[in-house]
Amino acid sequence: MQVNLRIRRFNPEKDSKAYWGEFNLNDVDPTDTVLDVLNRVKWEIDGTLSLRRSCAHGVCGSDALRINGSNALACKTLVKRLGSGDSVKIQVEPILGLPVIKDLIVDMEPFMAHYREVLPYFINDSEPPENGRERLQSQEDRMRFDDTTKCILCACCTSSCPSFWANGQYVGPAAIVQAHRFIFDSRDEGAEERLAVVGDAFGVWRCRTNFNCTSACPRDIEVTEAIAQVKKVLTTGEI
Amino acid sequence: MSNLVLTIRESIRYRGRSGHWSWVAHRISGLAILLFLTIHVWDTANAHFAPNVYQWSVDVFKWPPVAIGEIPLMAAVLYHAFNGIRISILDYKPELWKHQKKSTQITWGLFLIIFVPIGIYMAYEMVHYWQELGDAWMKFPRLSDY
Repeated sequence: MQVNLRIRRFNPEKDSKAYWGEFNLNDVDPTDTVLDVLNRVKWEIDGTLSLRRSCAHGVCGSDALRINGSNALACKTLVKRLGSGDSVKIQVEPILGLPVIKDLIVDMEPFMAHYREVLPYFINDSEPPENGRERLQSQEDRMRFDDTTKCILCACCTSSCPSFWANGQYVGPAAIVQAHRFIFDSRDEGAEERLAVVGDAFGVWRCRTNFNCTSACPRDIEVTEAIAQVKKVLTTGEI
Repeated sequence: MSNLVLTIRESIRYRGRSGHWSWVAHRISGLAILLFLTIHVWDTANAHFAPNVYQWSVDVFKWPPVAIGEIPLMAAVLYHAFNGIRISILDYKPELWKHQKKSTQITWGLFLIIFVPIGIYMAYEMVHYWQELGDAWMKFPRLSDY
């Protein structure tokens, strides 16, 4: 099949503003991914195209892009899902709300700064069990935060959120998902500190429940549900 | 300011699903209600501070280009109310998120069922009122006459 590819281009050393670059590719397999198509452009047509990618299998989360208008991982999006017939139009842009460094690469530091704000690590200063083994947890307790352990920090959710576009100080869905993962962990003792971060003016109350994050998540995390659960903890005081 | 422009532009460009478009409609209807309330507080305050201006503003509300705006205002109030209830339910019952697509459809359905007859009735009453005014129906009330 043929692919007409529009890519948002921007080179800070040459361009005063971003523009659309157009590429036509023939003999694209319908089961090729958008990352395969972008790689063909970079390797065969224009080596100056800049994009971030690593594992190419939906694990590392480095190729989050805005594909045909909504966020997704380029390596998990098949060309055949973007259109049928002999010719498919694909539009690729960098994710929103983060500064563009070059072409499809954005500066992830503001996103990572919010991730660090929620203390995304296990906090427990009490003595470990006397037998020297691990802190035990029931299967039911483990399942409470099972969904939010799947996050790969790709930023698909945070950069799909209009509240984050409007104000970059909002911690964003990904940071709240990380906070949820530890707040609901029965072995963790840092919930109070994390709830103070996600409960302030730039925390969960900026969520407008529009479900863009849930739709964009390549790991199918129920992000909006996790945010609502944190909101509920803040209003009821019960974890 | 650039964030505001980006948010407005990309809210329209982003290919979100039903939740996204419900949010866009919620914001637009909320801003419409806010605009009306601002004007409403001003004109009602005039009943005390400048009764002639109050009477003039009441007649301006009856002037067809302004009066007709009451129909979309009613739409905004109804949609904002129904969607607000939907969002509150989803916030208090996170586990219901699986039904969010259906909940947006129910919200739009309820809105249409209630708004359409009200909108038709409002339009009918307005046309009837303007017919009674005869040739003066489009005459803009001048503040100096009050």
